[in-house]
Amino acid sequence: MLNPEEKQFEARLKEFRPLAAEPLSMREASRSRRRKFVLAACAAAAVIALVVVLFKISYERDLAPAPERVVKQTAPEPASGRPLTIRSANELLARAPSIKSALDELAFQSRARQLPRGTQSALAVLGKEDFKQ
Amino acid sequence: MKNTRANGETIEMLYRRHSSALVLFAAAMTGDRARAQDAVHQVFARLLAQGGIGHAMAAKAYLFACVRNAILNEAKARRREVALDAGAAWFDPPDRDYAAELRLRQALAALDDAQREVTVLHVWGELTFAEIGEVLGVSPNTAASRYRYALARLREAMCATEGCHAEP
Repeated sequence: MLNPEEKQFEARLKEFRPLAAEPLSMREASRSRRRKFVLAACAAAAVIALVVVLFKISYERDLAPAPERVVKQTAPEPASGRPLTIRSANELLARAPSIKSALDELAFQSRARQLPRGTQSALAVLGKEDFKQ
Repeated sequence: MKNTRANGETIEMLYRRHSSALVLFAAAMTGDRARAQDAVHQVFARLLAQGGIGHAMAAKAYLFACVRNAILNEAKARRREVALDAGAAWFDPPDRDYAAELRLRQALAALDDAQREVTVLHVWGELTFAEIGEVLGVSPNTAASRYRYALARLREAMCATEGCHAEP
């Protein structure tokens, strides 16, 4: 128990009121808002970066020319449409007036065939080659 | 969701009601009002995050205990003694007597930690000695005893400068 003087002094001390604290909600809310904004900005930046990278990859893939594929020349077909075999080659040679005309017949047949788009015949490629001796 | 909002509102209400005394208590422990404000805000931010006060201790006493623990934990890292920040006032003095306000702050700073804590908790925190005992981890009698010694020293310090006997 306090004596009267102590009680009086205590009452005097209570006249000194503690200063008001800064408001809680504004400071914490703004900190929280700032945090949310930063997170959202980072997420958006990551998404944009990903989209740009994917777009770039896709674009470069489209631009790259399709490699020229040398089509393995399938066995030239004789006029009958059957694939060339030893037997059919012998028949062709036997029928043709000369070896040259037999070969020409094969070349014409292969040229006449419609090749798939983006391909070229091996004969055409070889024809362009400049073989140096 | 509703419960969380209710808890948030309760915590905000507790802040509005007790923040001044809590900041004063923290300032009395640290000597630095800015640090004190930060400590109190940290405590309430944590309470908001955990969704409320679920404690057997009375809410006000619990808040003072939280602030005290926050200060002590921070002080362990800082290892600084209480040095009075002469610039920042702690009180709104009667009759705008800022000289008396400074004297009171200086007198409080001159007390040892235990006495200073008890004084602020009892005078401005308005805690009972039983509640103070819970906050500080001492018996109510020890708290009361420290308070009387502190009161005597405060009177001596403040009246010595003024030459008075009873009043600060």
